[in-house]
Amino acid sequence: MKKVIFAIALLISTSAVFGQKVLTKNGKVHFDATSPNSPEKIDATNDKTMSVIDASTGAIEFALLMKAFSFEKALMQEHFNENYVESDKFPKASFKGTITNMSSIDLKKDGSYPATVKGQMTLHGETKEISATGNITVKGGSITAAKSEFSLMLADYKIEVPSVVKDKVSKEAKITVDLSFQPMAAK
Amino acid sequence: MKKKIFLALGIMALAGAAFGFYLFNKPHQSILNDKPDFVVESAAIISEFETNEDAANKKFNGKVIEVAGIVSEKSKDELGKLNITLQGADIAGIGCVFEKAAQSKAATLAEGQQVRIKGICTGILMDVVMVDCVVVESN
Repeated sequence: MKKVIFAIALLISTSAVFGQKVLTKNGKVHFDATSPNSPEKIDATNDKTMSVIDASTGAIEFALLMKAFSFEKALMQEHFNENYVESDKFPKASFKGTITNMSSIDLKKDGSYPATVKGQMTLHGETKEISATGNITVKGGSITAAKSEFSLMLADYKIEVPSVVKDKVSKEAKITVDLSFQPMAAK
Repeated sequence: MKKKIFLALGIMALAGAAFGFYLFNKPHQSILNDKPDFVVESAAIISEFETNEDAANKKFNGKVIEVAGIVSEKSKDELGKLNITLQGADIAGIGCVFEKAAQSKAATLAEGQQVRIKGICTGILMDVVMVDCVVVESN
């Protein structure tokens, strides 16, 4: 996990070279693991997701703190942190990958571009290769926003759902990522 | 007599169920009146995290901390939610997400202002992150 932070720090420190790196510290990640028949919603939002995109290479990373996920119900949040994702043992989740179709995103032309992202997702101490599709917004010569929706199987990350709550908690979590970027300040 | 015992048991069971239901549905609680587990200066807690992240995670994560510092950044997201960052000694700061009821008070804070903010520590990314924050003191 430290490596991820180091990598992000490195990305930042080498930023000024092309001025194509963008950063956010206030990205939003929402997940929904509500089972189809559940009477209540199992969902939470994280408002403090950090992300960096380097448009010159298409490299994209994001990292978030598990305890910064906010649930509507206090007890649900407690169970999430203690029993499901074990936040004390695994305080962070992160993704490190690349935008595979970066060449088709024209930074000189404002607009919204479809994007495919591939890389390594680390959650609950488990790392898995994932790919997702989304949208990238370009404005004034740089990336200003990125959005994506994808699903993760909880079992892939060794997150166990006890059988008593099976009809509430889905085996699959729908993840929504919503990032608004700022150009990284040249140093 | 037996009837009374049954009645008493029945009431107790009902009360228990009601309490369980209450606990289950208990919304997020404000930490406004909670005594902080730690009272720290922004630069000091950042340096604790930077020196030994694991130890700092164990010490602070999930705890109520009150941090004194200077507002270095203030921004609003698309939903109008406030993000305030307290200055540290270097590039790292303390990112604060405020609880709903504290938003309006947080909105009065200005960059450069000395404040005390109380929140729940969740760890460090680039900044140390606090959630469910309230403004303790601003001057």
